[in-house]
Amino acid sequence: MALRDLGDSIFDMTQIGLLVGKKIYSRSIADERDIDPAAVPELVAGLHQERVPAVVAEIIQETPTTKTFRLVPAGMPLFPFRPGQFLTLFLTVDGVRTSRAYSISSPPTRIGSVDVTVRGVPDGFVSAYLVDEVVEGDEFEISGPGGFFYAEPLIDTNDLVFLAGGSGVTPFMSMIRTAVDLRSNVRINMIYGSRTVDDVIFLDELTRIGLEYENINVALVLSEPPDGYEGVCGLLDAHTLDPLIGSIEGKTFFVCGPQAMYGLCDESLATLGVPARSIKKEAAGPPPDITMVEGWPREIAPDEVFTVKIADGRQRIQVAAGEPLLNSLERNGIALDNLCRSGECGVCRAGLLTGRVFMPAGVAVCKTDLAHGYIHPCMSYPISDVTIRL
Amino acid sequence: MKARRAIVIGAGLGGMTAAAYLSRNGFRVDMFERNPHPGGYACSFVRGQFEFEASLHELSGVGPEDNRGGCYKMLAGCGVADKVEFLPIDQFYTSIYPDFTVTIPHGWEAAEEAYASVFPEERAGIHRVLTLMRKMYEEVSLLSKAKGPLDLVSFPVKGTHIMRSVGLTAAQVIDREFKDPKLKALFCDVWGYYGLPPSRVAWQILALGNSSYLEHGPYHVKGTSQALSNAFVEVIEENGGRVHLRNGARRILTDGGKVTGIVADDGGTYPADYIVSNANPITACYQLIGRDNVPASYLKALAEGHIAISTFNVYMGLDCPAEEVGILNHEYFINESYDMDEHYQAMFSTHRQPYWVVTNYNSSDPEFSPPGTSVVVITCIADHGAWTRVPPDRYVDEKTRLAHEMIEASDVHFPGLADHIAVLEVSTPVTNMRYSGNPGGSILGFDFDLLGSPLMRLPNRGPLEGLYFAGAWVRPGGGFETSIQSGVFAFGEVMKDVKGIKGIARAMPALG
Repeated sequence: MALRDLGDSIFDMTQIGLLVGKKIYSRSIADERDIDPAAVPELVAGLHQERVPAVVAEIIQETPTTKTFRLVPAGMPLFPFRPGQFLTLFLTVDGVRTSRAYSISSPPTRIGSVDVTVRGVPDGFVSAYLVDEVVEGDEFEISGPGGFFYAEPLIDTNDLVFLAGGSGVTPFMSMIRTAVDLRSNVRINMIYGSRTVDDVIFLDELTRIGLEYENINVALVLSEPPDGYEGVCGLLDAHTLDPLIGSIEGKTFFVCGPQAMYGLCDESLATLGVPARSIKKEAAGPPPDITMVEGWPREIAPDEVFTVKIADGRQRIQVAAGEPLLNSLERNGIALDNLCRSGECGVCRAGLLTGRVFMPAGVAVCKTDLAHGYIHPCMSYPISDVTIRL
Repeated sequence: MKARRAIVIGAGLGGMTAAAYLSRNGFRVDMFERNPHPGGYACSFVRGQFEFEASLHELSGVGPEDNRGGCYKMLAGCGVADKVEFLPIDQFYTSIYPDFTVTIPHGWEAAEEAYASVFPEERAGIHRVLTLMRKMYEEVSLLSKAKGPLDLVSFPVKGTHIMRSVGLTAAQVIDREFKDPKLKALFCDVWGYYGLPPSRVAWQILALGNSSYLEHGPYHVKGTSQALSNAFVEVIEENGGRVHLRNGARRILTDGGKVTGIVADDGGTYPADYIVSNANPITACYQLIGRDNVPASYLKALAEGHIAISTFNVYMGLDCPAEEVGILNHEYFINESYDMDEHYQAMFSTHRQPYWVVTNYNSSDPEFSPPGTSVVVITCIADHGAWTRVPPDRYVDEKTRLAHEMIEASDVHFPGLADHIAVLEVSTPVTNMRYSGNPGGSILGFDFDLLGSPLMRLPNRGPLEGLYFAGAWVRPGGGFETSIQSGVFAFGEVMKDVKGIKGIARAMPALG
């Protein structure tokens, strides 16, 4: 035993000697050229770009109120994205530096450019500017792709039902165009609700695809049909959806549209017995009227004014309760990096030091951030005077 | 007295630890982090109704109240421990092999029983190895208790087992004591934590790492490792420090071999006499400082290190409790053979892996996900090379394919798993590179081979006066407990300079 231990000790000490030798040798042959310090940013940039400049190469009038903006990244290849994802446009409107996230409507199979399709809302701060003011050749900064509203082949079935409302058709357009380009055998049943015929975006293309491809079905539903209209009329309630969907067995549902549609579709899919795990919803941005959202303190009017103090700075601004904090900050020239503007990505995460804010259900703040008083200002509404740390 | 100014670059575990200690010891600390969240790898992310732990599998060195370990003591020493809740994990690890499945508990005797239950004829060898590990672990804690230079000088005598093991790989020790290759594999099954198979990993790393789990038991953090990171930020801010999120360091300013401050992403210049970089030393030297301002010998030292593994993760939110698909324990190491070198080689491709981990986060925290659901994560070791060679337009398909294969492979052991996935996210070495900025998306900095073992690793003192490193790339190395320790070490080096300690005493490990 003792002899063996002695042997081991001698062996161990020899190894230390060898290691020191190895160290000296390896240092002597180490070559600085083996290090490529640019490797990390370069390799990551092939897949993920935070911000890139892009030129509006073409503008397509889709409907009287809707335009498609074809964007070409300036001086770099287009980033890869998944059909259904969004990108964020960073722009200055009326002297206010702001941004908006729009679903990409073109398929990733198209080389070199990417489309966003925007409906001009009459009192929309950014959408009206885009549709009325922007011309071909204008330049924007755009983000890389974001969001998780895409078909995930590992968990979603091969039988998809798309429930689109109004301009919420855009992510589905990317998915359908991709399916067409790749001749994919995925089954798609798109039920697309609009107010009038004039409001239907991509009408011709959708009609053509619906006729041409056996695995893709497109059903239009109009809530204000013209006289004598023979198609399906109404809202996307259970009564309308039931015959259009048929059996719910083995189907995955995707929902994207205006705020009011989510509540309606939640209800109708529940009535039809669709399990929650088979439903995917695009993250909704700020609602048109936050005071209508469940949980809003009734005693506070949307135009009530509160003071926001920025910690570690001298700034103090007056803001309206009914506007997301991020928008109020931008309006006052205070920059805060952001991406999704729907509470999902966490890029605008900020500390709430004093006061209270209202965040609607579903804003993706992690549990420990909630406990430590962090908020996502893009979906936070002040309901008292507040102090925040950016 | 005017407060000394210190800047910490990067809010990873090492940086946050250094910042917490510095801010509690009279420094005016500014910590810069380019991400919106603090933590580096110690973070979480939300998808739908699920929140996922990004990186932490098992936290070592915590221990129960009557037997606190090194990690707990370091967190307590800077006021972080009181701000987080540690959740004990029942077992150390469960190994699944073609011939047998066995769960190794924590506790020296219990672990010995478990190993010997499968390999009774090798009980004597198992006992000897565990005894050796235990002695090594005790000797290391002697070091941390050292009060003066005498304790350090006498360490080689008191710490014979540690000193003797400096030049040994794990295989050299294991081969001496074990005969059956299956026992060798089982005993070293958590080698993935350390990034190299026993044939290459430093014995000190495997021995001390496993000892920390065996002696104190593994733990998790209530609210994920993001809760730990948020607690660090709270401590730093309570002590007057400032944490600048979404504002990384763009340049480190130098003047005649001494650092003078940084330029941040916001364009501002922030002066400081002491800079702790949690940004890896390669990025720090080449991009933040500029190679012309770094001594050539240091650049050689950087080139000498070998970059360690990255990971491929499949994060899954299940619509049922994990028990329903047979996942009962916290962590399963699944092996398709006993050849660890072969398993290591497999990570250099994007093909199906023969060695992977399935982690069930609800086992230590039933409230980890909404009632009736669970969070299960598949982790494989992965080299970045194969992933960075995938063309961008093939990347999603490639990671989807491997995720599919690993889910199918796991479904064999946990039937039904594949059918219960409600939410899914997949990460690759490129994901790790993107968020951490680490070369190769490394999760451990440089490899834990013999030249990268704690004593031989890059020191916490940087190549310029006033520059220090914390984090996985420097002493003692990568991992949660070790990265936290690197922050303590960096703080110790700063304090030596503040006190004006020179000569041999400066080269000695920092005390207390």
